[in-house]
Amino acid sequence: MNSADQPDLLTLGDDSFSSRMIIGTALYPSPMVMQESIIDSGAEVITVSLRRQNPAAALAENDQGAGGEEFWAYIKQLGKRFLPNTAGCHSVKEAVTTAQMARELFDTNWIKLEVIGDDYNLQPDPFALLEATKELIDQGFEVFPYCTDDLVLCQKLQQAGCKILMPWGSPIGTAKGLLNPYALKTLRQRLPEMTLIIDAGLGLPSHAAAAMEMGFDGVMLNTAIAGADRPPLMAAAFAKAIEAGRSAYLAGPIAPRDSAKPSSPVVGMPFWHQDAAR
Amino acid sequence: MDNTLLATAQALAVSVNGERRLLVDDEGRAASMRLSQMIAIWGYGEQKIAVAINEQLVFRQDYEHTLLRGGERIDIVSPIQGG
Repeated sequence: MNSADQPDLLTLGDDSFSSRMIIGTALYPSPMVMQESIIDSGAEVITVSLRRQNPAAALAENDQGAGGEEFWAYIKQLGKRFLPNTAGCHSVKEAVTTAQMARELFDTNWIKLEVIGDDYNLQPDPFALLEATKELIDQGFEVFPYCTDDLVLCQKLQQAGCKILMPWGSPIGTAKGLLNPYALKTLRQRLPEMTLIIDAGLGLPSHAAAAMEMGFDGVMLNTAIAGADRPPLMAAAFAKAIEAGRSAYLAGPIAPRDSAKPSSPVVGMPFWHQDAAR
Repeated sequence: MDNTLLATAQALAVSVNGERRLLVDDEGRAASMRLSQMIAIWGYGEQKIAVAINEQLVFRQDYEHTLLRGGERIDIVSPIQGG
C-alpha cells in the first residue's frame, strides 16, 4: 500500500515510471496514429519486436510498411523506454537468440519473453518459458515473462529470478478481459512482492480498471487500443481507467456482502409510530 | 564455367534471411568476405540491424573480424512493430 507522502510509481528493473500502462506499437492504421495513441496514453514504456528485413531500398520500393527505418524513426522521436519482445518464438533456442539480438538492436537488457505453445490461442508454453527464463536471467537479462495465470508456474518463475510477471487476462487479441479473476487474485495474494502486469486479452478500459482494483501493478495493451475506431481516444480512456483502478485500490474499497446495509441512519425516521409497528 | 570454378562459386554462397546470396566483392568476384563488407554490399548501409550467423548472435564490434566462407545461414533483423 502506497503512503500518501510517497509518489506512486511503477518500478520495473532499475527504473520507475509514473504511468502504469505499457503500450504496444503494432496493428495501428498508420505510424502517425500509433504516435498519437502512445502520446495520449501517457505510457512511458513501449513494446517492440524484431524481424528479418530487406535492405532499405527494397522496403521503399514495395512499401511493405512494417518496421524498418521509417518505423524506427517514428518511435525514436517518442523518447520512450523500449521493451522488446520475442513474439512468434516457439522454442527455447529461438527465444534466447531473439532476446540476444534484441539486446544488441535496442541496447537494453529488458526482454518481454514469449514462448508460444499453441498457435490457436497463442498461450505460452510454460515449460519452455521457464527454461528460457533461467537461461536469459543467467545472461543478465531483466525478463518480463508473458505467462498464464498458473500459480505454480509463476512461483517457479519467481524462484528463477524474475521480479516481474506478465500473466494473461485472456488470449492475445480476444478482448475477453479477465477470464479467470480467481486465479489472478490468487497470484496477487500469494506473490505480494512481485510486480504483476496483466498482459493480453483486454478489450475495454473497465477490464484494465478491474485489474488495477485487484492490486495489479500495471497493464499491457495493444490490440484494444490499436484496433479501436479511434485509437488515440481509446488510449486516453485506458489511461483514465488505469488511474481510477489504481486509486480505488489504494483507497481501500469496501468488501462485498450478501445482505443490504442501509446507508441512511435508521434512528429518527419520521412518521414511524410504535402502535403501527405492532 | 569449369567444374572447379563452379564448385568455388557454389561453396561461396550463403543464406541471407532465407535467400541464397553469393559472396562476391565489388567487382563480382567470388571470395571469402568479411561480414562488414557484405552488409554494405547487400545494401544495409547504416541501417539499424542485428545479425546472427547459424543462429548465433554476432556482436556489432565483430562484423569487421567475422569472415564468411560460404554455407553460413545469416539472419539480419531490424526493429519492427510489436505488442
